Amino acid sequence: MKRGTRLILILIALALLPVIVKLQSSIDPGRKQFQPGRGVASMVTEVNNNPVVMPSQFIAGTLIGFREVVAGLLWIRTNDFFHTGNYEAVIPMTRMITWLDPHQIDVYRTGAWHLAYNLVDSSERADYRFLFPGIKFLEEGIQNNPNVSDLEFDLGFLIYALKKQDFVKAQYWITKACQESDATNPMKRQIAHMLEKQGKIDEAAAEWRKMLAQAISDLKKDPNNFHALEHRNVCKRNLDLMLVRQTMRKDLANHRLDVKFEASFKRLGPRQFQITGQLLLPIGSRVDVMLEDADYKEPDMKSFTWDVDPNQTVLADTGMHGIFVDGGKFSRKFDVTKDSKQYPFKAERYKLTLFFNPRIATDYTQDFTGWNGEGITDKKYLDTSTPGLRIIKKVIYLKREDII
Amino acid sequence: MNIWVLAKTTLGEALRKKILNIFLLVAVAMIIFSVSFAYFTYREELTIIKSMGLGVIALAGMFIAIIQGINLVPAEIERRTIFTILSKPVRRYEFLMGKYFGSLLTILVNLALMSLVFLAMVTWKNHWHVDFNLLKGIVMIFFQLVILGAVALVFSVFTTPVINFFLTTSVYIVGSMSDVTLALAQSDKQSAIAKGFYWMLHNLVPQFANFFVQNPLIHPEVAIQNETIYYAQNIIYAVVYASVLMIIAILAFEKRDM
Repeated sequence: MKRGTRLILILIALALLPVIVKLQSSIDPGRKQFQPGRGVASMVTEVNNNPVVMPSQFIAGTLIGFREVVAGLLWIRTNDFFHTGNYEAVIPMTRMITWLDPHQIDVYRTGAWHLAYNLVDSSERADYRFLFPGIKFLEEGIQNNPNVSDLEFDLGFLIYALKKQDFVKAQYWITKACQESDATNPMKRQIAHMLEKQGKIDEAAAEWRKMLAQAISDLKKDPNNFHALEHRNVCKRNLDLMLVRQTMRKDLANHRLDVKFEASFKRLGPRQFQITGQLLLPIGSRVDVMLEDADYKEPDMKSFTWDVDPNQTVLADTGMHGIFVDGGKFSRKFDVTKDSKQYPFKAERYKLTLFFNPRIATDYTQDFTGWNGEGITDKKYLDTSTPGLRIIKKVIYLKREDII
Repeated sequence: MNIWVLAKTTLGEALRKKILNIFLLVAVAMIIFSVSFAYFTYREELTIIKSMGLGVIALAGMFIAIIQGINLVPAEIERRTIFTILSKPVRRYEFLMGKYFGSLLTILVNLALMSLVFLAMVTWKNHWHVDFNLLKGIVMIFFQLVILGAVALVFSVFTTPVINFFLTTSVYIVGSMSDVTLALAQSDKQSAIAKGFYWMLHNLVPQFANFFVQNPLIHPEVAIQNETIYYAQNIIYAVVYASVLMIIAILAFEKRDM
């Protein structure tokens, strides 16, 4: 090669170096949206006390850019943990996967579901303390995947409606989910159900009518649209039922039923107790139980962590887990002798709340109570502190020695 | 013309190499195997198949590019065929470029075969809907390997295949850790010298991480801004970087005593 050619080649190579640097600095800002996950090193520094240990065979993959592959393989492994009942291992795995790939929607959903439902005591009762990490986990998922209806719907329905019976927040998140392009008709119908659960019957009926009109219009456009057909039938049936019930329950406030609520706590032994009482409502009604530290406050989590206060005690049997009423009586024995981790009973005083909330009662019970308790009264335990709602509530304060 | 003939010959030789065919077969088997995770929901299943498939293609492509690249020159010297070729009216740079383009053709053929199987699997699992977007990921993998092949070629001019394997793999690993090198180059905790070192590492070592674009392809619901610009920048980056490496290889090869 001639000396001149050689020199030209060297000059070309040198001239291209600033081009490479310039290109790299233009590529860097855009790369994050193609590689949203974070590596193992940041996990160690940012997860703090959570014991996240990446299986060693996966570390190299996460370092050299195969995060999505590793996330997929970890998810397969997580599935094995789930099917062998090793639920506690599932949570760190979901954290690791979403760390590597924050767009793993089903991992966020499963992780939050595990936290809220599957970390249970010896009686299969979920640990209420983990409900809040579950909420935070889903919120993080929503933040990372803002246009996906499933995550918003799960937060609204699975967590706020079914677990927390907070129907205002449930409606907020379900409505948000329904604004996404991938929302389904069953999701949309839950908006009306949540309005009903808040006692907003006219608004719920209006929602059913709106959805019914939309379904009819969709069917006119395409008579073979099975989804629209199913939606129309469900909306029509639910609207009809609601209107019938509205008529049936119209006069309940004029002849209120005294439910003669009574409830008592009895210690049976260390960490064993029984709650019994009376509620003159039809079979299938339920009395909710909340036993918590007297100074218990729901945690205000800034970011997701599955660390919960090990000294805190909250026992919740609410909603579908409330104590079953049969023949106007109710009774349940609680044995938490094997569950000192879930119920440490470290505080000196406890608050035991026993209540009946007509808004979460079955339709049949509501035929007696009304949606908002307008059909019931009680001389001693009627609570009207929530505007528009009449619940029956008894609070018993207990000392530590009353329980352990 | 010489370059094209040499490229075709290199491709023909590569397709007869058992080790490359084994890599290809294993990769294809793994792509097909990923479909066996049928116990997940539809979305999870697709996510796993896509991520595994693109990962396997990238990984197999990397090994094929390295194995192919490290033997380009040393194999010719060992067999002494290089002397026969260079005694003909073939210039050294033509020989090198022919070998390089032949290696790229080999990578292209292998990627095409793997992609075909991969797309077929995804289409099958996706209710016979063909997701052409996945081709973007495969194109990016190809351009990543354009640089990797050039790195292997540069080292193959003056090192043995074993040393070259470790050198090229090391460059690939460092270049795949863009997040780390960029974070260190921008960190306030580092001294000025350290920051300068990491800046050099980040800007002068080929950044293979630029080409990992699988995430939005695996999760199509994710909105990406300026996607075309990003892809274009990366393709230009690959071409420019490979050109610089080719110049270095040509200059080194011209100097080599043979």
